[in-house]
Amino acid sequence: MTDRVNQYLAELSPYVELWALSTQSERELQRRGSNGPQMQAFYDAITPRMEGIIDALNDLSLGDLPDNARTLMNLTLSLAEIAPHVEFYQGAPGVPFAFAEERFIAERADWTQL
Amino acid sequence: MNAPNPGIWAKKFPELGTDPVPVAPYLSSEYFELERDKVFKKCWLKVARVEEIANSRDYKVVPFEFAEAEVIVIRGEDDQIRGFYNTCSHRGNKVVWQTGTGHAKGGGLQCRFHGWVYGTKGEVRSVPEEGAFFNLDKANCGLTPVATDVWEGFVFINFDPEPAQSLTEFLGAMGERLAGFPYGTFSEAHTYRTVLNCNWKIAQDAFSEAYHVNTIHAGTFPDGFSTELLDVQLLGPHHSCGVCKLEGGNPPPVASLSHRFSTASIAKKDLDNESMLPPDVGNDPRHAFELAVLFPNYLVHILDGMYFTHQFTPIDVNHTLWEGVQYFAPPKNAGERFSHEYGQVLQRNAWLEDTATMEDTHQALKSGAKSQMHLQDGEILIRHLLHAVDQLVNAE
Repeated sequence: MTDRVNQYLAELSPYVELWALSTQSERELQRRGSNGPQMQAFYDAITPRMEGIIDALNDLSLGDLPDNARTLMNLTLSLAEIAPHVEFYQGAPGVPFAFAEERFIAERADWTQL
Repeated sequence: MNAPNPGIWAKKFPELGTDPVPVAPYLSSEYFELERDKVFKKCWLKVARVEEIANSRDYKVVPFEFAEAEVIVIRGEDDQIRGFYNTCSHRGNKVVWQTGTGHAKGGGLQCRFHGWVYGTKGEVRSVPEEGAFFNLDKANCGLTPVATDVWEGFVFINFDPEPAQSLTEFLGAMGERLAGFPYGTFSEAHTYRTVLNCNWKIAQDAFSEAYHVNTIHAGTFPDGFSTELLDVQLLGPHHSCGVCKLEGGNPPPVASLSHRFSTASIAKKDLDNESMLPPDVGNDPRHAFELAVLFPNYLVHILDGMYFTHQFTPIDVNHTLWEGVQYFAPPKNAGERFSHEYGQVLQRNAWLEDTATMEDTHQALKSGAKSQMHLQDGEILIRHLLHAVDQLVNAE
């Protein structure tokens, strides 16, 4: 499994620094600071590999992912963050016709892990 | 496009009428003061989930600016959850200085000003330099209690020292209708909050109809939902309806991936699992989620595999604290984790679209240009909220 994870990471290496971010707030900031072509390039690189990536990651314990698998997981979460902007919002970096995003204060609690 | 079955809800609930509704209750300071005293200081208000204070001596401090009060709800060593004003019996300082959740040490809650310590039943346990006080009757120096009760794992408080109804009585038939959904299994909570510069009812109204989905959500849910409501229920001051999904449409690649990996998402279609919804909810095949409002200000939306809530707590007539929460079961694998994130982001974006209307509505109404609003049949929950508030405001 680790081989597959490392292979995907190698294939996606140009995007790791920008998009392998561990919190939704960081991913949101990165998305808002990007432009349409940058999001499209990342989208085009990772989307066709998603079935294989999730298949490889699903073999690992989610609560205890090794660093390389965590990095790959975080890349998929950035895809979740930008996909609506590529698929629905014509590449706009912000949500169109929306409330000021920076005024939404986010908080994530997983009480089973507290 | 005309809505199907025009007038169906007006016919079912003729007591609400069909006239335009007044703007004044959204803007008037005098009206707000009556709402504060007769609605928000008399009704049961949701403050927490039991999972937030799962262990003995876990507590949560919740501010209520309209009441100029903070409430501590704390789980006792006897597993009972009790509520108290966050006000020290000594000279009235806040006992806990930070809002949100925390855990009291073995001794109890210690006021940071002079170190008075309170147990989980509110009793004062120790007073530094006690001998220097004069005839201090510690038995009467406990924290001031706030009525507190729990329904389906939701913790509610009531500022009325002697609530006219128990929480169960207050929720009545709506409490029964929504009971039995496995709320407690959805322990992964994603919260967004903000202060909205608008009246609380303007904000709540925007989440109380589906008429807006074709315009406001054209971006995020292009073929997600219909404007039609299913099975409107007006139960005392509470109300609910089903929101309809639209069949068909071609989800784009990542949306499809999310559906495939998913256990739950508001955007997901064609669930084949057996329903976890209570028996009276969601029996129409078009049902996407149930929109239920526990009067006055707590919206609970249940669907197979998750639920989400909104709460609109007034600060004053012109300001509202909004909190929206999406509750998922902890993901079992990477695919579910991805799918939750996708569904959660999409819903966040839809909420950004929703909240975009509220301050503009309030501002534009403040101009005084309009004295009334026109509501269509599918906006019956808005009509009913105004009616239910007005009944309490005008009660003796």
